[in-house]
Amino acid sequence: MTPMTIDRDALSDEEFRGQLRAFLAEYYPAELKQDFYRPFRRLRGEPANQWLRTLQQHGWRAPAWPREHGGMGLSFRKQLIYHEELEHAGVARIIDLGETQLGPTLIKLGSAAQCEHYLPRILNCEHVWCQGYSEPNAGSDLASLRTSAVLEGDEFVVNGQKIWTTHANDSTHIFTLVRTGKYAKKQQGISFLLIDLNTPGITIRPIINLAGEDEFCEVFFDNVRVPRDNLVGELDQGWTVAKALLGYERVWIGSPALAGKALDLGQHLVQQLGLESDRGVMDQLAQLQADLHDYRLLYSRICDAIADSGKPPGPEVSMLKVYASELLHRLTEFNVSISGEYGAVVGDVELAGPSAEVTATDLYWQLMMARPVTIFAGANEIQRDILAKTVLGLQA
Amino acid sequence: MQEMDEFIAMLRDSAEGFLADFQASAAAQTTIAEPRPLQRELWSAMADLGWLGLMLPEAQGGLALPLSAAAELVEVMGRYRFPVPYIEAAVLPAQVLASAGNDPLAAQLASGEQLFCLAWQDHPGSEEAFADCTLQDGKISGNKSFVAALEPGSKMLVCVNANGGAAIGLVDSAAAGITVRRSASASGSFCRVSFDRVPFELLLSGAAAQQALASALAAGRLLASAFLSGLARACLRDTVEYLNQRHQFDRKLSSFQTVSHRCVDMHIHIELAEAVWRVAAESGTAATLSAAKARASDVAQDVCRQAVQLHGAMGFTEECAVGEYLRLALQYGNWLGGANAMRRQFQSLRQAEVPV
Amino acid sequence: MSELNIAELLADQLEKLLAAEVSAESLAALENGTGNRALWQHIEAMGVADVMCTGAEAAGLGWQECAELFRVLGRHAAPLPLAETLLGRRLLSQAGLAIPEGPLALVDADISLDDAGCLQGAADMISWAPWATAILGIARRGAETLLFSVAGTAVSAAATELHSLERAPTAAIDFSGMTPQAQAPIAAEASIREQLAVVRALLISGACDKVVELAVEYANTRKQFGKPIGKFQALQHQLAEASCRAAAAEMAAKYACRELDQKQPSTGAAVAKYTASVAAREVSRIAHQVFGAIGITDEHELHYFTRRLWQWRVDAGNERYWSGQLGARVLAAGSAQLWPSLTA
Ligand SMILES: Cc1cc2nc3c(=O)[nH]c(=O)nc-3n(C[C@H](O)[C@H](O)[C@H](O)COP(=O)(O)OP(=O)(O)OC[C@H]3O[C@@H](n4cnc5c(N)ncnc54)[C@H](O)[C@@H]3O)c2cc1C
Repeated sequence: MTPMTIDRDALSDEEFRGQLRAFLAEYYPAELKQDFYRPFRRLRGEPANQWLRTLQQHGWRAPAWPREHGGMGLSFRKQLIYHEELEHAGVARIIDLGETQLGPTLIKLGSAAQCEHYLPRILNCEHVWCQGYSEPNAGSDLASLRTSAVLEGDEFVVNGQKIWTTHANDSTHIFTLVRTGKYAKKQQGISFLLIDLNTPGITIRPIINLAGEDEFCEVFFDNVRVPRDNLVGELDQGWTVAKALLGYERVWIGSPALAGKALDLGQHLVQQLGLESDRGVMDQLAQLQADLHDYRLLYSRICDAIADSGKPPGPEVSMLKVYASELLHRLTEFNVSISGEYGAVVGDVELAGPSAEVTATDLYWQLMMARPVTIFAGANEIQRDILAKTVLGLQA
Repeated sequence: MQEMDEFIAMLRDSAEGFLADFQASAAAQTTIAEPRPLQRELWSAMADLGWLGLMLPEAQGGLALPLSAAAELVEVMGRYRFPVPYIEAAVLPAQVLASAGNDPLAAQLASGEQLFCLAWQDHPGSEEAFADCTLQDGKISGNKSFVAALEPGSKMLVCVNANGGAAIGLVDSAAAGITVRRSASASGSFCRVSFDRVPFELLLSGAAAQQALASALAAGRLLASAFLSGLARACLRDTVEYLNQRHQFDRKLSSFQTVSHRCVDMHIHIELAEAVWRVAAESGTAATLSAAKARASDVAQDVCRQAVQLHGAMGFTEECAVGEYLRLALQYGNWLGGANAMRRQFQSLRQAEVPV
Repeated sequence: MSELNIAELLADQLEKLLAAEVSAESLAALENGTGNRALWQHIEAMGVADVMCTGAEAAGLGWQECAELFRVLGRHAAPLPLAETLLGRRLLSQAGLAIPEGPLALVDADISLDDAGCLQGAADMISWAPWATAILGIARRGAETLLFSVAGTAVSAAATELHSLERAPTAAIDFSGMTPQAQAPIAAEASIREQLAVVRALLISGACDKVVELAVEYANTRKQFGKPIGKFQALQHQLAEASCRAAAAEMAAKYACRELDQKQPSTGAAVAKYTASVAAREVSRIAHQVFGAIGITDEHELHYFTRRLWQWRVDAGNERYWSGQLGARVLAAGSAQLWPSLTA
């Protein structure tokens, strides 16, 4: 493994920000930026890999990984700056679960051989990972999952089905939770298993979503033989492995970045459509502006506290997921409601208003992309249950 | 920095002790629809703690602490639903006297020897202070609305129109020509005051007067936000406690999702309110200050109203504290700018301040 | 009384027919461009499309009588321009114009007729225009209000097909310079926009009922944590909220129908479309939350209804438009009129 030679964590915050800003200005392709047309633009497949490799070449890949594993070894605070700058520069989002989820899990709980083998391949995009947790009957109640892995000699034989696997059709590998044992408590007996999607017996079926994209898939396992070495952590202890990173996931999902882009669009639409003199619209806008402003302050307060404590995030970060996702709902609804008839067009639409300027956007896409945020990564009802119990001490 | 943090921790601690004792005493009894006079003994005790001159320079008998320290103290007051016009009678007048550089008067305020109040607002709901009340030949005539903490013997700091310019000066509240209409408020009373050729002693004029008022209002808004945030937090805490012990349908009320999820939302909103006022206290822009007041006003009123609902019939009695929380939330949530007005202010200030 | 029975009978028949004919597959077919013209012909032959026509030999059913018909169309997300045709034929009969065979489309934009007899103006989004044998609208010429019709075949050059939320055949049409196929003065009970708003409100209320039904059924069958998710209060209360919204939309839409029947339209259309648009937004939001991931897939039938709700929310003025109209009207009437208008 090649450790990272550059130590950007040693830079002052300001130098770090300056260098990253300059790098993004020079290297990030203008045509891939998030803009009014695609406020939540995402990259997948080859364009995504290309950009990740550019980051890799210049030492800007894997901000959270330690340098000895080829990452940037950034403190949590610098990671925040990193994400802020990406947002500021309009860099499209990339769902890179190898970097954000599997890598840190292996670094924490994987074997030396697993780190040695997988980490460099994640960094250079030779391996692209997807997350196989959910099943048709195990959604919110993930621990009731049934896809089984039975040990036969040096191999697990996997049978069952995963669903909602984002970008399985673009991925080479899947990290899964599978049932390996039966215990009274259903969280026990689950194992964390790495599977090459090229293994015989795997079928992937893309599912078209409401935005018209084949974003998530069903993945079927029919007597799929997986080497025993692909087990991460102890047998039957996969629940703990999967939960190790949950807190960080909620922090990143709670980022105000998307809401910021949606509000930018909303403010632009208000101007474009000449609604500044409409007191009702302006009051609604003021509420949303204040909500985002205040939420940004709360977000950085909680992130600062995590950075200062040096400890992983606690259950309070569920708050971030709940608020950010519902704010995004409200913002995208606002954008549709002020756009009148334009709000019924699917696909590109050119909005004209009193000014000569015309804005090209896709209101439907932003509305649809905001739909699932209250569902995935733990539905908001589940997050509220967690908060009620652990943060407020409300008793069952 | 660290010294300040330690100092603030001490300040909060001592406030906790003092306010807990107060709350347990008979003196904490509030009335509903009757104006309640300021308890002078309590006020002296607060002076002894250094609270009255918290932000005044040492030369004026103060502790020279920053606004953020005062906000911390007031947040604790909110948690103990302290029904005393501290912001009204200590903070606002002190800000004006400090701006005027008037050492003797400021020292009288800090020691509790003399009560002051600020009469600024020309009309309800308006930001205007220097139009309606006019100064002529050293005497003022006109009206002021929502004057808080006007007590027997108080000296009034009145904002007036001096030939089209701004001025702030001192008026003896016992002087002839003053008519007061008093109504009850959670921290004591509000007055509508009419002046008919009342003698006026000039303290500040022109831009300096305007600035003095602006800084007093800014301080008042910040502290009201901190108070409301502390108030809401305590009200939610009490509500959670109640829900955890009350049983219906053979279950704890807290075990019902609709109940517990509402508490979660209140909690998130309180966290928002606290995040904003803290930033406003440390490094915030004018827009952030308006946002803080808007948020805290909304959140406190919402939490307290929901607390009434979640306490059931009990919440409608004066035997539980919910009513006290709600009245204070109504007062500080609507005084010095309600949520809507503050949000509109935030919106217009924000445009000028949009960050890079 | 007998008329009421005709309406009930028709609604019943239509309900049965649509229940048998409309499915996720037939909706998908429509949206892929192969709509069910045979179903349309069947329905046209039933005579349903004529029941709102007025005049000597016509059935002349009123709005209240037909409310259920429209709601049935909404409930089934009927892949047919029957709502438009019902209203269109009524307008033609009121103006004394001949009624062509086949479906109609309606324009609620501001159009004028110039001295040369040419139309001026454009409409951004006309549902079903590509299917329509004729497109109807109201044009102003000086102080006159005229119902005009242009043949579907005549507009194809000026039409741009659009992808709309409901994915029904839809187009934007610029009428400028076209000569109407027919035109006549009309004294309708309300503007086309108001009448279309009431129609959309009725459709929304029907579709909301359906969506609530689907969500309740799903909540009762989908199990997580060992029990149906409908046992969790957090969902129960969201579903209760959704069904209140649906009920409010129905009430408001029927109130507007009563006003139209009494030929005293005032705020009914605004109240109806405002309430229904808000219901459309909230009911779809809640339904998608209840369904979780499966609800946002193309394979599940939910979106055939929620997309139509989002579409109808926008058609003929969304909630923001109508609340503005309502507010302006209340302000114009003055404060003395507020209380009487609320209690009337
Ligand atoms: C866009 C998208 C991408 C996704 N990507 C992935 C992926 O890459 N990998 C992966 O493994 N999974 C993925 N998921 C799946 C996701 O994790 C699940 O959707 C989620 O866990 C919810 O499960 P469900 O959809 O089955 O809903 P259900 O669990 O069936 O829930 C339906 C409704 O019931 C409510 N509910 C359930 N239990 C309770 C309760 N106890 N109290 C109150 N309400 C309750 C829920 O909140 C929800 O509103 C993705 C989902 C989406 C939408």
